[in-house]
Amino acid sequence: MICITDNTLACLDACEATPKELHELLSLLLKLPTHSIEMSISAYEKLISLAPLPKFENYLLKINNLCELKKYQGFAGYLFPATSFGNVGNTSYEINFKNDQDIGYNEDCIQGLRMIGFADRICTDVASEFKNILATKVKFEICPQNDFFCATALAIEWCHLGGEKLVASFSGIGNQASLEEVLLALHLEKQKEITENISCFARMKQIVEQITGKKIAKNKAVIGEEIFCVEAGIHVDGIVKNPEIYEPYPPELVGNKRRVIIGKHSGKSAILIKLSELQITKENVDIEKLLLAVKQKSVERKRSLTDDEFTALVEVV
Amino acid sequence: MKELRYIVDTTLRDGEQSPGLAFQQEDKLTIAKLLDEAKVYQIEAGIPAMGSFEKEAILSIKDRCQHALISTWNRINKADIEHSFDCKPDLIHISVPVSMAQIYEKLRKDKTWLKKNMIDCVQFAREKGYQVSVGFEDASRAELAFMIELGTILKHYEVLYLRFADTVGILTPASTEKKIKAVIEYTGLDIEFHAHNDLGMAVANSISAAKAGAKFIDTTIAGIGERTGNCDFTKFIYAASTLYDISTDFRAAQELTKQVETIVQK
Repeated sequence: MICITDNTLACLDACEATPKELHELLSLLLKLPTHSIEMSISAYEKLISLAPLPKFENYLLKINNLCELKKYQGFAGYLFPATSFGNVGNTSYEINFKNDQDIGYNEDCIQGLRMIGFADRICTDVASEFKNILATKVKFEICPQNDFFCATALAIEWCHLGGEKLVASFSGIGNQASLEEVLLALHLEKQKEITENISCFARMKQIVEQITGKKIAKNKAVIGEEIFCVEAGIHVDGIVKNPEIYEPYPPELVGNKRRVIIGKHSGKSAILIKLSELQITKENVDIEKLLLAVKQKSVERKRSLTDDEFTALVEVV
Repeated sequence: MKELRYIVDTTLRDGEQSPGLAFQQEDKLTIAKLLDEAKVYQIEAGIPAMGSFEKEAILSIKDRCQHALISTWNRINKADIEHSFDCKPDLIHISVPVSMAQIYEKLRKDKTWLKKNMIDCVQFAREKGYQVSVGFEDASRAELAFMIELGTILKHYEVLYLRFADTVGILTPASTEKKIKAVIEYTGLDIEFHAHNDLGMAVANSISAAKAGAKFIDTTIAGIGERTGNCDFTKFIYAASTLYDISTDFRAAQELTKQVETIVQK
């Protein structure tokens, strides 16, 4: 079984998140098919300043010294940087300590080891490296980094090869694999089918944007607000016949919706759809002439047309 | 010595299909000249069948670019290809939908129709003396045996290379490697890989395709394109240059991207 640790709440310390924002984000994270939720001490303190954590068995706390393990009791595990393990091949380690034992580097106290790195491995024989890691007795959890824009792909490769434990964060915050991309990829590959309602991605995106003060790209995989907008004639035509022709999954699955945009690349299908959407009778409209006018206006404005601009063109044509 | 890989930049075709984006003729020419100066191997300049404004843009690109090959994109019909003849490109690209969904539901045709029309279109362009590349649209969801059958025919017509398009962006590095290796092994054709970023894996899949033997990689500047976009030009060069010799270096790609972004955001 694939177990994903979400560490979004451990990656927001540099931002001014309010306790209310963190609580809403946590409540939405809890709806997703993740196994554990990791948070920083700062996020934890902000959260409990407003209300106790919602009931959940697998909260993890990221700590920087072992005294903090004693101070913050009640977590399912504590992630602690294992600097003594060194930094081999750009990979660093974290130890996952149990909560109910005296601290020590032995099997009674350690419930897992996390490997962080692998950023450049897509250019190497990553499959062999992962197989070697999986062949050891230790059940490693990997946390691929995104310096080479391949973190999600590395997480998926790990799962393909039998890896069961990995770390990701919503929108890839903290230079990691994006949780939403990993979940969708595993779902489409039928490795971990999503049965939960993940339409909360749309609200999660808003909260993360609010907290970080940065807009997530409108074409960001899975959560970008415009990824289901369609303008090109060939694509609109295909989507009208069957959305699966040009969509990898339905927009509703991720809390988004399909929108037909009118512009330079539109075809007749899109024009007919827009006329019907705006309840304009098409009988008296010369579609060819209107399409040409749409293209010319769009090139002139260097963008697609608004509904008002389209309606105005219909009247002129 | 590192192996060579070639960039086919499709900012001016698939990139411009980003909803809401509409380049003017001078924008297209500026971007093409920047790509040309950055030593990009091939520029997919546009779709001539879109109309006279697009044809004029492509003609000016062909006239002003000195190094890059200039190609045009065509659906599988002779009328589109005739429009391409008007632009005198270096290469005519013909897109052939190959998945069952694309053939039976979008085109509402069958495999026999597709095969015949593909041959007619390729012959039509070849007889006029044009070099041709063929793109298998939605190849990632198509039957391997059918693609091999079509690829074998295309080899006979001396098609330069075969584009394998992950049209809905569902591949992973492992599935990319497996499919690209199989197509190369059974057709013997050179492969161009065209990724989409629906699962955030366009760069990784493109590197995986290159590792599997694909010589040509499709990119767009800033990764613009339909839905989540295509393989990002600069990111691919940055990530792949440890492994491959690519004619455009990372610094040049970065500089070019900065300049193009000002045009896209205007």
